[in-house]
Amino acid sequence: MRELAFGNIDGVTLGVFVVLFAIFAFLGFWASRWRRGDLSKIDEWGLGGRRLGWLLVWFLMGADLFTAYTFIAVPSSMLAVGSLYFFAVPYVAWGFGVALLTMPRLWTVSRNKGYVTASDFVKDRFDSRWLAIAVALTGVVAELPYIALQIVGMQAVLAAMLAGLTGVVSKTVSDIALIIAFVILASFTFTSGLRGAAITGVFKDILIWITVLAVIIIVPLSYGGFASAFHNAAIQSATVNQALNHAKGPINYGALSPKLIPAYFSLSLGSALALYLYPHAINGSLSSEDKGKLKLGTSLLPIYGIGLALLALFGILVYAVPSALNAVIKLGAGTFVVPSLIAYTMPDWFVGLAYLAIFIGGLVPAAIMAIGVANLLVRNVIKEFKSLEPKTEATLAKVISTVFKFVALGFVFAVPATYAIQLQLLGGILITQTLPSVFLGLYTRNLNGKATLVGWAAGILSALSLVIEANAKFGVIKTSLYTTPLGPLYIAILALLINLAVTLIGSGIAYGMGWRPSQKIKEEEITKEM
Amino acid sequence: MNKYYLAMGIAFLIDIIIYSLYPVFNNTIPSIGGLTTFYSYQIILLIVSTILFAGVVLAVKENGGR
Repeated sequence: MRELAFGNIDGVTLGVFVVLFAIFAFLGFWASRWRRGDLSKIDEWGLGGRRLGWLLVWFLMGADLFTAYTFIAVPSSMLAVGSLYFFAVPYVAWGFGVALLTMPRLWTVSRNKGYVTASDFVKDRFDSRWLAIAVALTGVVAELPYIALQIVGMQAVLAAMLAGLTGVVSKTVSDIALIIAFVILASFTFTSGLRGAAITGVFKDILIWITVLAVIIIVPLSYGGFASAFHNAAIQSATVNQALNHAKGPINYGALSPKLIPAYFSLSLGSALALYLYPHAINGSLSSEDKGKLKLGTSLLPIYGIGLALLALFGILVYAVPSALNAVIKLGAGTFVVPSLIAYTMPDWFVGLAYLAIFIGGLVPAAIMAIGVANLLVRNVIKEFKSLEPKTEATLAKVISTVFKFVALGFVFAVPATYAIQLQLLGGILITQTLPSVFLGLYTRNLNGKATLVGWAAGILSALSLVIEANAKFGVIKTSLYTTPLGPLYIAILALLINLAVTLIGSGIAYGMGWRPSQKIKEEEITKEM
Repeated sequence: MNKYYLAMGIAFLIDIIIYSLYPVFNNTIPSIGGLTTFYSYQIILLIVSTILFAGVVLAVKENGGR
């Protein structure tokens, strides 16, 4: 506990926050009545009955993909580490390029064959139950730290709010508020599924855009903008480096150090390849009403990247507001960059609106991710061992999604924020190992199921080995980069290359030994609606 | 190969190339709004990416077409 005041936060801030949260909760419950379908069926609950238009898909994907990671973790890393973390911008642009090459095919084959998850497709494409289970379990494990990150973002906002109201930061009060918010989220996700998330996603995205645009216009005009921020950073970055990283020397913000270019490129590419392998991203794509709307909605998503880029730059803009920067240094965590910048530059009522936007910006994606994971576990793991009635399947998915959110909540209480961010990068490394079975499987049937499973295992094992070796000197996970003769590279890419080599060589050997591809999915079932 | 996927594959490659021209944009020269070129170039490319991807989606039909 320590004494401090936090910007313009007061009773009005709290009032606006509570009223908007009440509207948010109402919308979530109301959504279960919107375009009513039979919510006891899993694809009605999990995919919104596949009836979402391109505009809603656009909002849903935005709500889904731009999360607490975007407005808490990335600005925090920009402040603490510097320009390297701007890799999030090319990553977003390329991620949607990957989506436009893969999701229309997955959407088509899913519509033709009744698939709900990528694992459903992998099972038929490779005629391999175990490869489908491996893909499903990888998705489940990779989502857990991603959900945990959303909670880290929500916690940062609550801690800032309580600091402003009481002058005291108390973890116990913050934890209690977090549990209450989670109970509300769990109950409305349970009753309304993806529709609840879609409607609240629209509400959240409107608030996020108001927040981002207001701050990015007002702060530069009032405080001298980026020119002033870069000027102050040159003087003060060594102090920030000492406070946040316990390291000496200035932080490089102006441009990228040439030796970090391989890291920058591989983090962008690796993250882009991972983005649409996550179950929540695939779930969002499959919920589109038709393929044309899916393609148009996805192609317009790089626009969201502008919001992401501006939020990342808050990590530098905070230098233009010395009181906000001092608050971050006092609290000793980069996660306070955006909450602090808002609290010190905006009126009390607006701080309430913006904090609610960031808070539900963690809650909504957490709901969508938990739904994706629930679908995966029930359909592709549990049903492989025990047949279920459709109603039992839907009920079980709802229960698992609720339990999963609380598992992630416990994860946050047990793991400090810094490590949760590194575990998210580990999630990306793991999910990338499903690329040969999901993305390549959409383009060729010539990969052998057993060889692809062995390739997946080689990818996962080499990824874990490289992560352990790269971090051996730290004793904790502090980096996702591995130093190679080419420079530091994102481990996801290195492990994927090993995975691909094993998969391709293994498939060649299998072919030589007389194996022939599965005919369960015809080529036109991937490209044409039947 | 379906025309749409071919065109989108080319658009994606172009996007990777324009984001990888580090000698062009990786510098601290001030540009729009006091940002260095490193940041402003990559933000502008988000608009270019949208035009590139949406252009392919709108102009190239998946089964043959224009």
